[in-house]
Amino acid sequence: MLNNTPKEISERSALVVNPAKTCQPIGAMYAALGIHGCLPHSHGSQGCCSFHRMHLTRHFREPIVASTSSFTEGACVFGGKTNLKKGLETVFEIYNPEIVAVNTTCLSETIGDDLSEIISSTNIPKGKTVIYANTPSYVGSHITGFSNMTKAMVTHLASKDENGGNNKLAIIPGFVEPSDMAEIKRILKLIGIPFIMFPDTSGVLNSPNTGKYVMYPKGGVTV
Amino acid sequence: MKDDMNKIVDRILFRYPAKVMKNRKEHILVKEPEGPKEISANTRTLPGIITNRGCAYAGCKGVVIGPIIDMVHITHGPVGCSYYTWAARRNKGKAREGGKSFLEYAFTTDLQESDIVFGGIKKLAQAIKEAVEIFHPKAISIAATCPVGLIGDDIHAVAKKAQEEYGIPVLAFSCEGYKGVSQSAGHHIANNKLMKDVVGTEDIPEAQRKKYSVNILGEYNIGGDEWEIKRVLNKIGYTVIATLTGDAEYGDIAKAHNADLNLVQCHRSINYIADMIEIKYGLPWMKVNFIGIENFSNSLRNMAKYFGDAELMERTERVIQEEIEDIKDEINRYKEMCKGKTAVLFVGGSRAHHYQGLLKEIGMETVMAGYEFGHRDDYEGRDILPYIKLDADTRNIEELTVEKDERKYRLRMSPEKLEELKKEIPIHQYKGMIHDMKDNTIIIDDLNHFETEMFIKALKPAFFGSGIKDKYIVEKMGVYSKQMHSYDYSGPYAGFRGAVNFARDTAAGIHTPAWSYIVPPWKKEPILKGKIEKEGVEEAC
Repeated sequence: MLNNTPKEISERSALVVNPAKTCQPIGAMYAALGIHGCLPHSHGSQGCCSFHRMHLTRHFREPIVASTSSFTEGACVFGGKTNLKKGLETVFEIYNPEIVAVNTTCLSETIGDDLSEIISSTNIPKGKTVIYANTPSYVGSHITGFSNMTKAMVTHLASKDENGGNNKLAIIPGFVEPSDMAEIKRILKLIGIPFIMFPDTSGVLNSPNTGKYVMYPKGGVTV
Repeated sequence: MKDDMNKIVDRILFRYPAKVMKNRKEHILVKEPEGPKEISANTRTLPGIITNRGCAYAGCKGVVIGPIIDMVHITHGPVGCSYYTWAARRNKGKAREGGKSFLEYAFTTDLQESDIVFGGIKKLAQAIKEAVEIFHPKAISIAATCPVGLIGDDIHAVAKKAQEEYGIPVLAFSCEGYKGVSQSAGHHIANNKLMKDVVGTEDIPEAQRKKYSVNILGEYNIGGDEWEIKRVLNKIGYTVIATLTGDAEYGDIAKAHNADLNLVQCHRSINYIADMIEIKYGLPWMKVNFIGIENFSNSLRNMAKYFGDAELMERTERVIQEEIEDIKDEINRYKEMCKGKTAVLFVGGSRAHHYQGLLKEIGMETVMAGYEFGHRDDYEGRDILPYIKLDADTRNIEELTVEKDERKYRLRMSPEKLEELKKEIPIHQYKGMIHDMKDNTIIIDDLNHFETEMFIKALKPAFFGSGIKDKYIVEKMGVYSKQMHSYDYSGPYAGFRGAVNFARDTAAGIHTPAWSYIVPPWKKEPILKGKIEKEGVEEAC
């Protein structure tokens, strides 16, 4: 393996060889899966969404579903507004998720699509929610993407409570495996602290094989 | 299984909103003895649909260019694209004696925000310099990703300059992910570049040319397929000059025009180059199918017929007999285990067709098959090529026109003789998948998540051959699913010994004791008598 790597160390300023990091959107997708009944939506080319699903599926050996805006050359020139609007309408009509978490890609970031404007002008069915995070691939890594999507959850979903809060501890587990999240929850329950943990992929990405496929498994934190 | 497939399809389509239904209806076809045979393919996927399709970059760097072993493939763009195509396909390769293989490496320029703003050209030039100095590859490829096309980095100029400076070929591919409607666009872009700059650059002197030399096009050596095919071809007496592009060296492809026959395995990804080589160098191509015992044997016989040598034909028959003798008993054993079961295939651009023969040999019937990114000619055959309307997305991909190379053009046989042969063997001909399918089977293009779920419930196959993305969706429903892109890390599946591997894995997969612990809903929930066949769909609808 890696027989062609020379023994002597050479300075490199441009070429990155076998990177130990990947791009933001995959982290955002992973975080989004930690919300109950959430369908991640990748606003960019089909390939991005396809690559992320492939990579996450291979790692967790669990079905990972996510929709995409399916950009074409035309969409890059004229902007992805129609793609996202139509995409979201189709998603709610066919797949009926509770919430859709949109993440951007390097493509939609470079052309400068304004997500908040597009989403606010889209017809979202009653009782459903759309949140979004800006995740340009050329900034940071998958960890940044995870953090951006987690931040988006707070910005879009949390509301201020005049009565001084709900007396619960907010736990943000960071980019860890679903089993780790389950363990954190177990310990907290033992201690007896009321808490909300988000994102929580336990039960989503390590769900049992029951013979029935459910698109939105029981796990995940509820809105 | 006797339920009318049309009804099943209609019931599933009925669940779509009107617009989506209209679109998807054109992509689904039930084979009938008479009736419409036209299918819509290679068109845009509606945004929001959970599709399995990828992008042009995946088709170009991931599929066609990636498997060339002695090149350093630099992905110019943010880090992700390179990371996801790093050993993601199982295109195997082995460095030749004294040569190098870079298959286990991923190279990228890892563009940052400032590069997107000020351009990434300098970084790319520097990356090429470092790659040359550290790794000394035979050649370098540069694959563009979405943002590179948008900010307008001139990768071709960088490639040209680097080529002059370092004296090795540097190929730039403008395969930005948004081009075309699927991976298919990337195949075309890769084909064009290989034809323009690589094929035909290295001649084999006449004295050193071997009899019966062939190229295998569209074989990517997944799980070692190409090695098994080559083993048999060598045994018969063929010389394989180049394989495009499984386990290929840059130099092999440069020499490809010296062969006497091109064998086209994956029609979708490589037919462009096969056509162009014929026009430019006079070397005809023939469609082959190396999957399945009968298909492989027939392809070998067709090859012998092309060369028209009695001794070669005899040797072919002898080898076929010998090989079949070796595997006969084992195949029969697995056939006993798989007999009477049904299969659904949904794979890229040719495997959904190729594997039907092999499945039949182990007693399984394919009830539904589809391509992820096939074109209409892959479904309906090349005869319809003149009638395909090009849409805007396809027109954006350059259609290369080549001319006869007067110096290197060599007629392999007289045009009259070739015409004569065409009647017997599939030279320049591919009849498409629909041709080989049985009546009352479903042909489906760009199968999406929703349809996968519905069709599995309705058809209840024993075997679902697809990719990693839908594997676990289907397995959660208690149906065995096999990745036909990576062979579930097994292989080879091509050729004679490959057929045994496939039969063994499939039999084992279907009969895994684990399935008995997961009873699919249609077996668990008792239903009224007489409604059995429809239950799955009704529940689904």
